[in-house]
Amino acid sequence: MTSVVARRQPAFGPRAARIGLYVFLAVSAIFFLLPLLLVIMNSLKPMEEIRQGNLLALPINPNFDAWVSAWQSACTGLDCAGVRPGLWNSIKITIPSVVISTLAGALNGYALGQWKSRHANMIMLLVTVGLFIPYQAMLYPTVKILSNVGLFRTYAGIVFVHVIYGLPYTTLLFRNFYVGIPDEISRAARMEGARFLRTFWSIILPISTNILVVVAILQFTGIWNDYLLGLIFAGNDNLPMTVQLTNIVGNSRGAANPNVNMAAALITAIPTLVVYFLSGRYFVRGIAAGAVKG
Amino acid sequence: MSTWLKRQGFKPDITVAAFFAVVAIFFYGSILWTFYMSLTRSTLIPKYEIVGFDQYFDLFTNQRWLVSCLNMVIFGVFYMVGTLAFGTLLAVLADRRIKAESFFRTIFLYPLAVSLIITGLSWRWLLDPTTGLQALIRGIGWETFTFDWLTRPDRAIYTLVIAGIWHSAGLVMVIVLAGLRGIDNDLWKAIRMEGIPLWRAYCQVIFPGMRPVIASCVVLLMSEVIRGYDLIIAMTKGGPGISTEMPAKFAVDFYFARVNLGLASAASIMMLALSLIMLMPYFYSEFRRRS
Amino acid sequence: MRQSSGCQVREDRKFKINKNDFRKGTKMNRKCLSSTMALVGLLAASTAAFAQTVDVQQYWTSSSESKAMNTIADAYKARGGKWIDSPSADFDSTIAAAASRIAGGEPPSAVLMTPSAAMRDLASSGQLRNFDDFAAANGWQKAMAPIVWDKMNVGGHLVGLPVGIHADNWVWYSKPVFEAAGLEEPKTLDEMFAAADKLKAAGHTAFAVGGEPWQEVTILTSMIIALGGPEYWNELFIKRDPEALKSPLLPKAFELFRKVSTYTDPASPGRSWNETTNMVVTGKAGMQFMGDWARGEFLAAGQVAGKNFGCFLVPTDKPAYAIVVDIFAFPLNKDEDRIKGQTLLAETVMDPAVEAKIASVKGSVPSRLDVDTSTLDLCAVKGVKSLATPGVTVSSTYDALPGDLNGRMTDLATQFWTDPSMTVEAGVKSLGDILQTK
Repeated sequence: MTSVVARRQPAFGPRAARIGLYVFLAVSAIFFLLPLLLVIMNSLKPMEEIRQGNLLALPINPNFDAWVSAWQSACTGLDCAGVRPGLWNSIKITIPSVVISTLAGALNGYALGQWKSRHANMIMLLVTVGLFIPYQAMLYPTVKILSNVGLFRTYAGIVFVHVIYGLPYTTLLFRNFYVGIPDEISRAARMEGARFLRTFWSIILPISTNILVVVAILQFTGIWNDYLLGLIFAGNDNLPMTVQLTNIVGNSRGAANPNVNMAAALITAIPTLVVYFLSGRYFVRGIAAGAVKG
Repeated sequence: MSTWLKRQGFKPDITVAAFFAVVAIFFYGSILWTFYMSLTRSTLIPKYEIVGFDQYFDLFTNQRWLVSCLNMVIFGVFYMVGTLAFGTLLAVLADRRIKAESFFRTIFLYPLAVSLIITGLSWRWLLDPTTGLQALIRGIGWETFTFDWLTRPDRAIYTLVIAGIWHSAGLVMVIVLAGLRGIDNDLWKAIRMEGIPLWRAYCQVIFPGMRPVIASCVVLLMSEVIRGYDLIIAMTKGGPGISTEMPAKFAVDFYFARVNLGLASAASIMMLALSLIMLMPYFYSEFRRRS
Repeated sequence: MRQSSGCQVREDRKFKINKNDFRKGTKMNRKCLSSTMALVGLLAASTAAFAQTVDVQQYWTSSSESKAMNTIADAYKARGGKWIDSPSADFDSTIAAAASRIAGGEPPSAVLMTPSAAMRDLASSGQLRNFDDFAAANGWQKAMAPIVWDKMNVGGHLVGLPVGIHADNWVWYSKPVFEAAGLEEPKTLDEMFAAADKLKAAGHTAFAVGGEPWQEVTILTSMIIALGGPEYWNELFIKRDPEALKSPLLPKAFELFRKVSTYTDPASPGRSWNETTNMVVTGKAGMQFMGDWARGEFLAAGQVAGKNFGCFLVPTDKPAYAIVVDIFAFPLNKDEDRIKGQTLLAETVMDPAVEAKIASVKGSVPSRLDVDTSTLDLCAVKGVKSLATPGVTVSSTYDALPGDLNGRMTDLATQFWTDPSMTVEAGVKSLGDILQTK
């Protein structure tokens, strides 16, 4: 891929334009980093410094007290054990939910994208509507359905809810990716007698790395950060970390500890950040480099 | 419809059917139920006695609902245009030969990892005139610097736009980037041989070819606009006054805390209707193109 | 089981460790023992026939609130009950979770809430357990102020039990700031605004206001109650008498409400109440309209009532005390051990000793009149006195108004507050429309 890019014409010819480009990138980077810096800085301050009132002042005595408190001793209800108790629950809810909803979305998206029919469009339209229903409107019906099949407030139930609620999202992304893929690829496979699932699994998925990564990380973020569904559908033994985080950050009548709030927010965001940093490298390889002839 | 498909031994029908059944049960079941509820005087607990369209009359005589709808349009237009433009620009830049590409890409992408609640809170802290950016810049000597949009009823909505763009530009960037990386090398070769200027190549060749990918972005952003709740709650709570109220917050407030399931359901149905209207152009173009 | 076998392995290994590790070993051992015991206890609790379990949906998650909830939980556990905690961040999500759990057939066995429209709605649709028998047997009605009792009865049945009482027509002020300006605690509204003018002239924010709708509406209702007193309040908000809407008091209240807004600082919009209280704590601001949960903020900063800060009910010649009650409601449950758990929790909450402890930890006023109040501070004592004086206590609009009327009034108040072009007449008219909806 690098060699391909290198063979392109110089991106921005004149020197001035190139300097302008980097200035733009640098300014954008500052814009993106500013809130993070603010949060990190204040999570390292003791409360006395926060009370001074200038959130953008550098910490005078930086320490990790607020982090320790957010991790293991901030009150989240009857217990004061920080966000720690929900970490494992968040992991065990998020991973299967992301894997299933992403793969199911890919399969459906591929079917809808390659299926040359008016019906496919109609179905896509109906599915897309699902993206516009407020979650709250779906709560009662979902509760009813799940309690009828005995999944309300169970581990399987919360994973199921995440998969269902995520499907319109993942299907749309994959479908719109696959309609752009040349027909020759799957046609060639079918010529060789491969069945639908087989074509999908051994031909289509391997050339979908980019969109797979995109969808998976988006789903990961969405599910990891979910609060309301976890609160209602997970049951007391599976409450995700965000419930504790919200109980720390969102309580409205108690004493405010912005430093602990910020530390808790950072701790909860670490897994998603790690996923992003790790997945970054998969963006460099694309279908252009992989499957389609160069 | 599918003699062609059958000839190919290609059977997506079953997958699609099974999937659609699930969507139908959950999503359309919910829509029907919500519509039913919107015709009742349900409070916290559902009541199944139909009274007609009273809730809709209530809704459209409610000042806050009307302001919410207007706010959603203002926010939606600025947020979507801003995010699409900024995100696409970043994707194009990231796809060109720039130094430290992965460094910049990571920075632009990380806000997506941050939940909207945290996004709202940190921007709120940042834009708070007494403790944030304004105080800092005044502190280093520019005494008259003023950026108090967060606390001004006529400007607060644009601070939501800023935070929204901050959060979602990365989304557009990765989706467009994934699309750009899928562009056939031959196409680039052809463009180079023809000697077409770069900006024209993008506007006239590359982006039109990526229309479905860009459509994904538009739909996802639109869904954020319609369902947008967390960001508002964390950043302005709808204020000052009701200047940043939006329909989703209206519905959520009335569903539980304000014990008016009927009115909240009517609001949800109207939101759905509104989004269908907004989606019409998109589907119209899809149908025409594909059939 | 896995846990205890894990302990076994560690104990075996203990025989091989040398003297230096001995202390470490016993430490491990103790930890091991306690977790085994906890496990055994858990098994016992879940299998024993007399087990009593309560599953509490609640939103007391800050440190002082958590302490108060632990006071209840500890007393409950000491009586042999098992407590499952289901916390969420605020009233809204608690109600959302409780309502969906009821719909899904897995109701919590106790919900922390207020005797508001939500409680009445749950009660009238037959979802709440009533405690009439226990109340009769234990004389609970006599132990409470009549208004508190009335609020928790729906259709003649007791469906909620009080945990503590707050009131929202308080004003909090900074003693040092008042002293520096040569001011006394105001006795009338005029004196209060005169004090505000002096504070403003001295460069202080006279009224610290957090510009969130619920904080703003409190100022409006505080003005109405100060001008009209309990009797007018009840006519306007409880009976919702159309005649009361014609009173010249209302335009006056709106005017004063707007007047307060002219004393605030530009950073007010969206500020949380506790950040706002902090302005009074640090002496940046002189006064704040806020419910008595604000006292917790002063105490947390190490301040003392009557010395560093002061409190008064919004000044008036017709004293009034607008209360918000924290209660437990008990959704109907089927399992025997959960029903027993509810009973045990009810007894715990109604124990005067527990009530006194909650009040001192959380800064509320006990809901029983027979509770020992000697440990409460100056401000809390003022509250206790008001509660005991007949005819002074009224129900705050938050609890009293039916359906979503309080929410709509909140929307109106915040519009009026932020939009100076909205006339007083328009404000009064909108309020009338809201209060006259069925």
